[in-house]
Amino acid sequence: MTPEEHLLLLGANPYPNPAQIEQLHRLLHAPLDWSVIIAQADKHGISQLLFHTIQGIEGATLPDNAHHQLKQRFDRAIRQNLFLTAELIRVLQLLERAGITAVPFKGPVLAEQLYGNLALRVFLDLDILIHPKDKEQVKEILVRDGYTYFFHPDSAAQFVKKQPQIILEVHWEAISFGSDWLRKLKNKSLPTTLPHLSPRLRPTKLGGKNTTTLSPEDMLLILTMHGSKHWWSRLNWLSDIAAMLHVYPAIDWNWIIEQVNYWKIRRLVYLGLNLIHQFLDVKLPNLILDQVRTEPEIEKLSRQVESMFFIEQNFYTRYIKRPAYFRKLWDMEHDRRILYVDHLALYVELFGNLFKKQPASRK
Amino acid sequence: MNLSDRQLKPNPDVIFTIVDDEAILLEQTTGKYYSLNQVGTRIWVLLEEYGQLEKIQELLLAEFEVEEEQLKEDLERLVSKLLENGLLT
Repeated sequence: MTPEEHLLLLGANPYPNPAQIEQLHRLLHAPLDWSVIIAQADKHGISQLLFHTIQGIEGATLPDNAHHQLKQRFDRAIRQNLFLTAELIRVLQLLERAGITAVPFKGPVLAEQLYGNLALRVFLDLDILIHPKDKEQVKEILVRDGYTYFFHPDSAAQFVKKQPQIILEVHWEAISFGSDWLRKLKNKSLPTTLPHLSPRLRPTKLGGKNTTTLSPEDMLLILTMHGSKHWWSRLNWLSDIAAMLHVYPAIDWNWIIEQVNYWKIRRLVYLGLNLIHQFLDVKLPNLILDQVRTEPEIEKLSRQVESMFFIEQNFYTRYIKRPAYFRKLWDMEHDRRILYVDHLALYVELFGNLFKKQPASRK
Repeated sequence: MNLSDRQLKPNPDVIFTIVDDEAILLEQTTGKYYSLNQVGTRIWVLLEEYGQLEKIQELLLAEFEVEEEQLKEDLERLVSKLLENGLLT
């Protein structure tokens, strides 16, 4: 691992322990390529967090140029996040006036809950969860409000406003199974509609206003599944899990284990927990460590994720490594076989395209 | 009406976040951003909770080493500015 990569992993922990702070401090005195660090921090959504952590370390300094660039990102994020949060509150009020229950989750809510403010977590879109029966009415209200509707066949609809751009995702299921591979397995997964989650909703603050959101346990399941589904390709998803364990030390692990076993999502969920343990040095309860150890594939999956943290995707990673990773994610042999057949079909299509005659270009 | 007799509260169109003891406020109707220093932020939080200058003054006197007259003057100055910018009602 390069010193730059080491620094990025240390900076991804929102609540670093004293040993991590000491390592960060030491690394900051070493020669570092800050253009690489900043580019990767942007890609992983941790520029603001990294800047804030370094600023908080006594005696730590950044080179002027790096300081300037990171400070700029930090200040911009606060304004952008406040603006988006204001819009989210406005939309929630708009729906509430029409008698529709909408629960904000991810984005600004996580920023406030897990990081204590709206500066340290970047988010590009806003997410709300509604009752499936309200889909059409919500669409009508948002379109009347000036949003453009983009059809989503699966579990959420996307609405967009331009200048300044706002992307609002209206979910009727909190986890989206967007890819064809995963959609087939959707019905076997954890139910995440509002009627399922509402008995455990919690009050929270958003931009100084009162609202409700999902329970930490539900959020933990959703976030780990979301990260695994996206190959943990952004470190800030790991930051969220690490922050969640720090902010909610009384998380009901027995309930989590029960759900994970019942819905057969052990690998999807424990992978995220194992990753924060191994790479962000977050302590896990023995109860969970024991569960992780009973799934040897999690170690292999973790190695695969690690090998992809800091490299660009290419043909090999996209079509060989990624499908193999997705197959391993599922607890049941039968589910892995479903994906295997799908992946074979994908390869046949790919090879077919390679040998397909290209139409002659016009002169 | 004297400021200290008024019940004050943040304008509902204002949303804010506190980063390292510094509040950043957005007034949504004008789209203007404001920031408050550490003491200003503490006052903002107390205004949200109590809304009465007398009560806030009492709490701040216990928290900070400051003369009562000086505190009263500073508090009224900040509150006037917040009112002037539409951040309080």
